[in-house]
Amino acid sequence: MKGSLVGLVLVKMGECVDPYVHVLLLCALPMYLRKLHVFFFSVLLLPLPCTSCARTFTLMKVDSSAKAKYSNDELIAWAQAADAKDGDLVCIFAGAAGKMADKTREVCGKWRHVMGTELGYRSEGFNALWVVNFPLLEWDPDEGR
Amino acid sequence: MKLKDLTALVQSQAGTAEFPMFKEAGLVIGISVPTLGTWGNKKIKALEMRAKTEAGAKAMIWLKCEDLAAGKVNERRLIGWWWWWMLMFDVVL
Repeated sequence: MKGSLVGLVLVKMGECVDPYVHVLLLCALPMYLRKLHVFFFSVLLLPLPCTSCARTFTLMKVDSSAKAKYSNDELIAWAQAADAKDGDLVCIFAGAAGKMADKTREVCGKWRHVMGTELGYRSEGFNALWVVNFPLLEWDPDEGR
Repeated sequence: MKLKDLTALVQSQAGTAEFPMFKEAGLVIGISVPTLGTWGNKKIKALEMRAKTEAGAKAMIWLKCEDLAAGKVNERRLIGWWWWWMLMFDVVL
């Protein structure tokens, strides 16, 4: 009876809490109940996927200046949305919408130049560019780009 | 280097309610810069300063992607069910 209740709680919690809590529970409970062999076995099982939350516990490693406010999953969503790969640094800029958004875009453009220089992507000197359709690099609300 | 619009994603996240920089933002753009994620935090903090001085940003949020492959969602659900049945029939408790 006790086992079945605990089992239900474990499964239920796995659906709604952070995976780390689930891991803690899986390991802490056998420890609390002095089932040391179960505890050691649980530790071995940790890298394997969990049942309810369907995640591996070897969570992807990300670090961020916003990690105090955002969960690991939320930061991972940023990385995936930014189409980042291992070893990438995602630099995020924010600003007001509407006309003021051009200021943010301008900052992003300048930052690309800085990063391009840092990585050696930019060549020395200048190249000629003939712009046919003005504006070339301004927000077009009609085309949404 | 890729630029992506993260506005909708960031606005839908719970953390944004407590994060002043994104709370009022109407546009959030992420630029993924290759290889710099391997830099130490000290050097990246120096980049934050450069974003202010050289690009004119008020602030820059950074995200280092150290190991993205490990965290892919896995659909296998064997271990938990195994646990559940063990507990269900009082095998371990």
